[in-house]
Amino acid sequence: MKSQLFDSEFLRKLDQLVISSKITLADGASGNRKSRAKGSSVEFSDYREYTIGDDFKRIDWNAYGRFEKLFIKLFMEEREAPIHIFLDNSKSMDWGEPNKNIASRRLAAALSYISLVSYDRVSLVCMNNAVDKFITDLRGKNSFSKVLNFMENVEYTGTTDIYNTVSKYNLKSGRGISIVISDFFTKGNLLNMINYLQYKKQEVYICHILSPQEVAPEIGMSLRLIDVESGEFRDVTSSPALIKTYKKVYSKFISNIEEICAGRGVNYIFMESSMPAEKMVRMVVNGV
Amino acid sequence: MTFYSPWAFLALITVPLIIILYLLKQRHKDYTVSSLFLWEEVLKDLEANAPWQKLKKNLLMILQIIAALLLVFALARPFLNAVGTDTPHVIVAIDTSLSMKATDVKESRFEEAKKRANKLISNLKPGTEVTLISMGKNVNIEENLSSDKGRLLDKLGELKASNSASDTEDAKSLISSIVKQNPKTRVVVFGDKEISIADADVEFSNISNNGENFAVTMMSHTKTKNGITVLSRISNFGTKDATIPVSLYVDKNVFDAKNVDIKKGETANVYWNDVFLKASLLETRIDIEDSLKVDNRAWNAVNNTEQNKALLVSQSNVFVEKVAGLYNGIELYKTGYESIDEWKGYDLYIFDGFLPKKIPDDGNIMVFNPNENDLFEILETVEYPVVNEMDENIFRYVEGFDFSIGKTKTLKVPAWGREILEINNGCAAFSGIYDNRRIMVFGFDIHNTDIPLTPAFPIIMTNCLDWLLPESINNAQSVYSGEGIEFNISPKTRKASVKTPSGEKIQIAPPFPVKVFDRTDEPGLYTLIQKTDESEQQFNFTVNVPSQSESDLIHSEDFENDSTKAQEEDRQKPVNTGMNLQSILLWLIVIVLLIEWWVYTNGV
Repeated sequence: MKSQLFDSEFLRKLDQLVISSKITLADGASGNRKSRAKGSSVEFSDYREYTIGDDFKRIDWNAYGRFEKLFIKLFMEEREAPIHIFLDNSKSMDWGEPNKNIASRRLAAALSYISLVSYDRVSLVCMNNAVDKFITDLRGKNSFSKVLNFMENVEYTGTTDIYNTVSKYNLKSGRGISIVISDFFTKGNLLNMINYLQYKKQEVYICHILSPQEVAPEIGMSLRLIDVESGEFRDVTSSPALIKTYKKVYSKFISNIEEICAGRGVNYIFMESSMPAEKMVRMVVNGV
Repeated sequence: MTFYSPWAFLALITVPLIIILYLLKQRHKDYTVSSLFLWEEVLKDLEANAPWQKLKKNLLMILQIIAALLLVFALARPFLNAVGTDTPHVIVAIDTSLSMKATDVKESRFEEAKKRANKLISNLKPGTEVTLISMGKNVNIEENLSSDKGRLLDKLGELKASNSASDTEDAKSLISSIVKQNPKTRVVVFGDKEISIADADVEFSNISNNGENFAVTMMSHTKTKNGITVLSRISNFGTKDATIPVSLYVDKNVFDAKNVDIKKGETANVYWNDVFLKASLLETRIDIEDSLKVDNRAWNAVNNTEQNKALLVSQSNVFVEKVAGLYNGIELYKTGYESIDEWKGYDLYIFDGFLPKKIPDDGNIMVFNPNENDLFEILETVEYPVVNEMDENIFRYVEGFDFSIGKTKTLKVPAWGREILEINNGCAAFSGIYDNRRIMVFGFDIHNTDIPLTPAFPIIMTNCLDWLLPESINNAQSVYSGEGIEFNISPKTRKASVKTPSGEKIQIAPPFPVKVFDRTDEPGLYTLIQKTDESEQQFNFTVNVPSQSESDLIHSEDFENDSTKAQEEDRQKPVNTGMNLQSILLWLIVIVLLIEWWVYTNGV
């Protein structure tokens, strides 16, 4: 693969991640997922090799007879959990060193890959002040190339209004997992968005990505700060007081989001764009 | 308030320049950020915490504008005028006499005077012409009509207090004549003795703290058979009675010490007896700390003068022979006209009725009734002339002396001579110094007058011999610091020098005749060294400080008077100087810059 974004090294790591990671619905998983399939015939989807811990009942003994290997029959309905990854592609996400767009796209791709491998149904939605582009209902590992293609072609434009946009997105009803990846530099109401997603029976993951320069800005002179999204500007003169106040405002900003998330029982994961993708993935999977 | 360099206000252009620079600087460097979301909060927070944030934002600029304004004002040299100080010409006179060395004010009176004068000159309106006068033994114009303050202050800094008395009369007449030329002159005198000048209003800055002082005001000695008796006169110029420890040093070793009780304002004589005759230097010391140390010591030199040799060349002149024989300090030899070869090695030759073609190479000469010669011209012989005028020096102590001359030659006074006896027909006697030799010529034979028959004869002869055989220094007992000394160098001397108390050797001759020696500021023992072809002759003399006139630091006769005390307080007031604001402004600039630096580094 020629992409700079997803090199072979990254993809190899993804495979390793799959073994140890599995995004599961928090509240008891499989029983609930199966309920949707009740009444309908068991729709065969795929085989996979038996691994320790799998239900013996699902072993396909016929296959064993032919190949002398234990295979498990996989049925679509059982395992399918709809996973929505909302990726902020406003202009503000295309900033920082390392750039947040790379980190966020890698994270989104990695999470998609894990989900696809786990036979979950993946939808990817790019949003800024409106739904920019999306693909839905990707299934199976083979769909990952679509994911990569989608990710490669994400363009970072527009302003952020992810909260309103999420609420406008036609989220299919039914339980599922929603992962929102953004810098959350937006004036909209995060709580409303979470409420909306939870109303839609989504288990919500808030992935908050910031660049190191946003965490601790280094300003050595008088600057005209220009908003990359709106083009608005503010003049500041560097001073210890300015940096001190920034730090204060920043921690208030973070703690505010943390509070909202904690209040709604939502997973909040903070990450810097300088982190390696696998670490970010692990943080999401482990809910840290 | 006056600005002496108003052109400096042109520099006010810097103020808009600073503002422009700030406006240019205010163009912040563009820096794209992902979002202003947090920054807006930050700015809001900053402004909320400090309502005057906007002012603060420009604090550095405001401080720089203040500094620039202060600098412009400083360059414009603002000056706060004091009343009556706006004159185009100022005479600054400083007393450099001995009493100014007193330490009853901090450092010394002189240093204080210099400080005050420095302040006055520094704060004068630029362009004011200053004449700086030092008033010591001589009144010197150190700097005339100068408006160059740097030069004036340098000159002022170079001034030193002397050990001599001040000549206020000279100073008065000098200042008075300057004031006459330029009536718009302010006269400021820094000193401890007030001077008043009829035509000028003198601002007197009195520098005195009425210090207690004791002084050796006089010292002398006489030789007796048993030894030398020394008289030291000690004065108490203080305001209290005192017991003063006094010691006598002989040849730099302590000889004796005494405690002398002296009432305030009085003087006591202290006698020291039986000092050994061979002593050469006597010194009286007051061993007590007082306000003026220089006058606590006085010196006296004891010279054991050698006999002068005199040769009388005469057929027979019993009168001269007798009188010359009586003269103290002369060893008289006699000879006839013929033995010319022997006429050398004498201090004085007395030729009677004869003067050889070639006069001796050494010694002074006295001639009676000379014959034709190359040295001077004889005009004619007159009989019974009338004496018109007699020289004061030769005929001193014999006022009203009347004598007659039977026959005399009249003489043409040469260029180097001076008439000492004038008769109606011309000159009958003259004296003068020719080729560094003293020559005295009388046109008559002493036998042709009635002078030897009068009681005045020995006196006149002594006066003549005093002139012909002078001591090395006139008035050797009472030379005061700063006074000039005329040395009477012996005709035989080829080279003469003076050794000062600090050991410096100053050559005074050649060239001849010897100039007045005036490097006598340092008190103590001086030695005049005269080198002849064969030998070296030394003569000691001492220079003392003029304590009689300078040691009374409180002017005790004034001090007794209550009304003068009030005047005293009045005089202590500092001289009206006005105020140069430049240095204050410069200090303010430094403070503003320091504040700016602090603001800048602390990022307030």
